[in-house]
Amino acid sequence: MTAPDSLVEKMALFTQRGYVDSYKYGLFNLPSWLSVLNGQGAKQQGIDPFIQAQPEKQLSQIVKTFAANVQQRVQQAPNHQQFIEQYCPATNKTSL
Amino acid sequence: MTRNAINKIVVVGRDVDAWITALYLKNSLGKPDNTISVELIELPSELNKDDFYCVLPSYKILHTALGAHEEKLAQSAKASHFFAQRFSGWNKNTPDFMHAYDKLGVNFNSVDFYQYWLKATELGLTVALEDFCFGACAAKQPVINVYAKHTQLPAYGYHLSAIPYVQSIGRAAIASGLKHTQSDIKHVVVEKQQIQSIELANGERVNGDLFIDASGTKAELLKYLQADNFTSWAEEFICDKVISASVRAFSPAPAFSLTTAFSSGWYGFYPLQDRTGLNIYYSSKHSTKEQVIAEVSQLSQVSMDDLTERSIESGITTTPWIGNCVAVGSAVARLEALDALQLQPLVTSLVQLRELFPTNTACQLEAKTYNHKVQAYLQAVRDYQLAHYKLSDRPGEPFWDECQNISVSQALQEKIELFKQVGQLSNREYDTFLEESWTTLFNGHSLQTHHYSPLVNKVSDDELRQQFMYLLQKMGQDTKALTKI
Repeated sequence: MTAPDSLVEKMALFTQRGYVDSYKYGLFNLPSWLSVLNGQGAKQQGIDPFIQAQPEKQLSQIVKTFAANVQQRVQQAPNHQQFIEQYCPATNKTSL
Repeated sequence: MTRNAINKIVVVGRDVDAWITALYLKNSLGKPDNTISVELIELPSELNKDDFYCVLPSYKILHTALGAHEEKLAQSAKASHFFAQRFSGWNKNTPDFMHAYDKLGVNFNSVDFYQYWLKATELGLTVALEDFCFGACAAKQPVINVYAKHTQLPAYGYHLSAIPYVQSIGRAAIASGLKHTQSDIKHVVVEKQQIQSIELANGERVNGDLFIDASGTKAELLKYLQADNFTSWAEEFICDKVISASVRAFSPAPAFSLTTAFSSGWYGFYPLQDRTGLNIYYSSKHSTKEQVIAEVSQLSQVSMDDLTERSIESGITTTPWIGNCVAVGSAVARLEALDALQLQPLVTSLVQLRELFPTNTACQLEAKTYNHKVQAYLQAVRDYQLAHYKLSDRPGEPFWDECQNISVSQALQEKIELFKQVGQLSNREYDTFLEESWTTLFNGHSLQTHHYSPLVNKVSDDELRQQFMYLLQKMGQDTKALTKI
């Protein structure tokens, strides 16, 4: 399949240094593009020099803290059954 | 194309573009334990004692990123803050209007306040749209201390004296360890569309991996890579001269800049602590320097001497990033000072440069993206400025007749038409000005909307009146609270 030029360039910029465009009015935002590009195996070769210039310890700490926050919120979130019971419980509970 | 790491960045330029860029790159990339070095070749300044800059609310984040302490900077650069720009005399029989950096009223039921205001006006409301804008109301108040502890404060910018401002940034840059040489450039060595080295006037040779052209309209580096790299907007922006001066300080200093139309152009007063900056833009096709000075002196009732006149041409550099050379600031675009946008090209280019900063010298894709985005953002900003001219109405004055007939972009035509029909804004990806700013501009220039949204009728007439009374009351209270401290 031949990809359109715009997509080829997007993929090349990501591979070069992890650049993902952020759209104000795009249907898919940065997290979506990043998920697909990174998730489907496009590996970036370079790192944004502004990030490269920051101390690794500091960045490592930020990433660890963020990951821990995400974990905590996942733990606290209701499971599917709890959500259904809170949001839209059936009035007549008959077994299927 | 060769692919070298970027270990040395050379900024070549003058004044605010050069110093802000050098400080930003030095702080972000050139720390002592880093492999990247940042050097500034400072070209002769083009500033004079009358020059000033306008810092819009949205630029303050740049100062924060540079570690500037706003209050101290304001003191050293004799700054005076503003909540709005006031426009006078652009349309016959039309009151002055304020363009502030704040929302208009409240968008209840997710319908724009402007739609309700249209209906309310039809029902007999005689209150101007801007009286529902906190920023516009604050602008009209006596002196507000923006550094006091307010529970809420509208967005504000400030005017500052150019020379002390640039000196402040310069001091911070030198203190950060930036290598700095003052010199003219004799020659730039280019090979295969890449800058190899720069020869200074004193014979010294400067090498680098990435070169930043911050030299303003002369584009001292970029011109070696491409001639004819300028797209003129002279057909749309017909002012070709600007007269600058300082006049007496207004006391108390108004918290807004005054942008007033006259027969052959417009003049702007920009309050500072110890003086008022004045810019007069005019078309030499329609008037002479002497006539302009006489007319503006008479209209403003302010005496002005010691004036500097410069020729100007609005426009944009077609390809600001070529090979390993990136133009920033006024080397990218030249805008009139209308709407306080002089620094917009610098801020826009630095934001894009930050996002696309190359990892090595094989950066054609970064360059392509930068060139596209910077052009798109600045064209949209240009459209906002042009709208003032296009929608002006001063019949019988040849300058203004010409302005009404300028051709504008399709995007702007569509914006105007849509607002005329239904009072909506069609903001697009690269628009910087928010819907409220466009609404303020269109409404201020008397662009009438034919039909308000039928969704407005979900609110009964009585409820509408009550809401408006409540809003006005609250606005009065909130505005009064600002002046208490």
